[in-house]
This record gives sequence, structure tokens and C-alpha cells, in this order.
Amino acid sequence: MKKVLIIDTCILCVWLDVPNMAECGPQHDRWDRQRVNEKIQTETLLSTTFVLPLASIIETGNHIANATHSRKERGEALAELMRNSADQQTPWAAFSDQSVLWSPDKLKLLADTWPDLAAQKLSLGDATIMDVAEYYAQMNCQVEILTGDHGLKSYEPSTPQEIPRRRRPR
Amino acid sequence: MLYCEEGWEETATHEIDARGMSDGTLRYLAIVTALLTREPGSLLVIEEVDNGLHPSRAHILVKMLKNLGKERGIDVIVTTHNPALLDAAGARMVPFIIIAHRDDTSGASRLTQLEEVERLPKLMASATLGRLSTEGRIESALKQEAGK
Repeated sequence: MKKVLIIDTCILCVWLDVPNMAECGPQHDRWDRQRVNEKIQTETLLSTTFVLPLASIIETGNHIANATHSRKERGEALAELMRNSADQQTPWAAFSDQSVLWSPDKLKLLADTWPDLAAQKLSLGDATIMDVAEYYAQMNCQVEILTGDHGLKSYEPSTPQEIPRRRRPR
Repeated sequence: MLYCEEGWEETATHEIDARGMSDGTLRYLAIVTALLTREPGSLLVIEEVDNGLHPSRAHILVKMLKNLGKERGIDVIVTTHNPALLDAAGARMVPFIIIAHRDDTSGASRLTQLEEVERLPKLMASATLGRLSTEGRIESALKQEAGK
């Protein structure tokens, strides 16, 4: 089974060293640059695909543009990652198929569900990351969301996958 | 025999037989009939399942094949060249799709499970199955991976 690791904004900010965002996650499960690096190295060896949702790219870009210093330098670092993922340079892939996330139906569903999530401080971008996760789970990939947010981390596919007969016990 | 009553608005209708009906209509009716009448446990193989069918109806066809097949206990194998049908099938059907392609060197036909394409998670990040197929990107991924 192929593994997909979906990178959310706070982890991307930690990894790209965005000023004042050196760490994320709760005290007992803190992510710093070294831990993110180690995770990325381990997953690269497992041939995992790293998926960057557009929401993570945009939100990280916003954090960089609003940073107190090093904006140009950190901007270049994000730009490099954008180029690699747009070209699908291993192991990166940018999730740019908009129809999955932003169709009129999806937009309305998000409009119905997001205000409650906003109350729990979950960004609109993070809410769409669950849709990316769901998309890959449906096609039978093993999905992990790399995030400091435990609500997102505990994601489980909401619809059961359909299992082909060749994989069922005989 | 199969008859259908046809006519323009506010004019007299007339009866036509199967010879006057569209290929897509006849094909759809034939598939439904087969699914309703075959023995449970049998296998139905349909070549070019959506020939003559309007692309906007692809999702109805996929739904019908899945539902009737499940309901009547009939396995269904179909072939298609149609991007609209692949899009109607969607990500959920990935484990059930097999690609027929050609080996460049030997010229032999090959069958590969779609989910075995190494680059699939990357490809699916950028386009739907239908578009990937239209642009030949699944085939070129297979060629690239075979050359490794």
C-alpha cells in the first residue's frame, strides 16, 4: 500500500524556519525543525509521497510575508519547495487538482462545517487538508497528516474503502 | 420487440422500433437487461461499455453497474476509452481499474493494476483520472517505471 504524508501549515513553517514559528504542537508532542527533518528523512526512505496542499503553501506564504525578518530568504526556501512539488520532484507533489476541494458542492459543505471548526481555532486551510486526506484514503493509500494539531492528526477516513476481492481472505 | 413512442412537442407521436433508436439507448437497455436476467454468480463482460452514451450520463452508468451488479450478485468487467467514465468512477474505484497498454519493445499487450503505478499519488494530486488518461500521463508513467 502506498503511503502519503500530507504536510500542514504549522509543520511547513517549522521546517522552513519561518521566524517565530520554530515549534508547534502541544507540550507533550512538540515538533521542532530537527524532529520534522528526521520524520521527512525516515519517510523518504520508505518511498512515501509528500503531498503539499495548496492551502499549506498559501498559509505558509502568508506567515512568511508577515514575518518580522528574513522574509526574502524564507520566501526563496518556500519557492524552491513550490517548484519541486509542481514538477513532482520526488518525493514532493503539490495538490493542485482544485475540483476535488473547491467544487461548488465542496465549497458549500465547507461553509456548513467550517464555522464550528473555526471556533476550535482550526483554519480554513486545515479544514481542507482533511479533504485531501479523505481523497487519498478513498484510493486505498495509507494516509498520515503531518501536523502539530491533534484534532487533525487523529483523522480517520469517514467513508469505508471498497476492498477488491483479490485482497479479501478466501 | 422493443418500441418507443417519439414526437416533437404538440405534434402527433409515432412509434419507432429498435432499428430507429440511438446506439447509446439500445446499449444501455441491453446492459440493464443482462444485469437483470443473468444468473447470480455469473460474469458480465462489456466491451466499450459507454459507446454512444453522452458524457454527462457517465456517472449514471457507473452507479447502475455497481448497484445492479451488487444487488444481483453479478461480476462486471468493462472496457472504456472514455475520460468522462473514468472521472465518474473517481478515486474510490482506483483499486478496481486495470490499464491495458503496450510494451514498446515487444509490442505485446500488458495489463497493469492502476494502483501499482508508482507515481499514482503524485499524478492524482494534479488532475482527475480522466484528464490523466486524456493527456497520456498514466501511460508515460508506466513507460518510465518499466524503464527503471
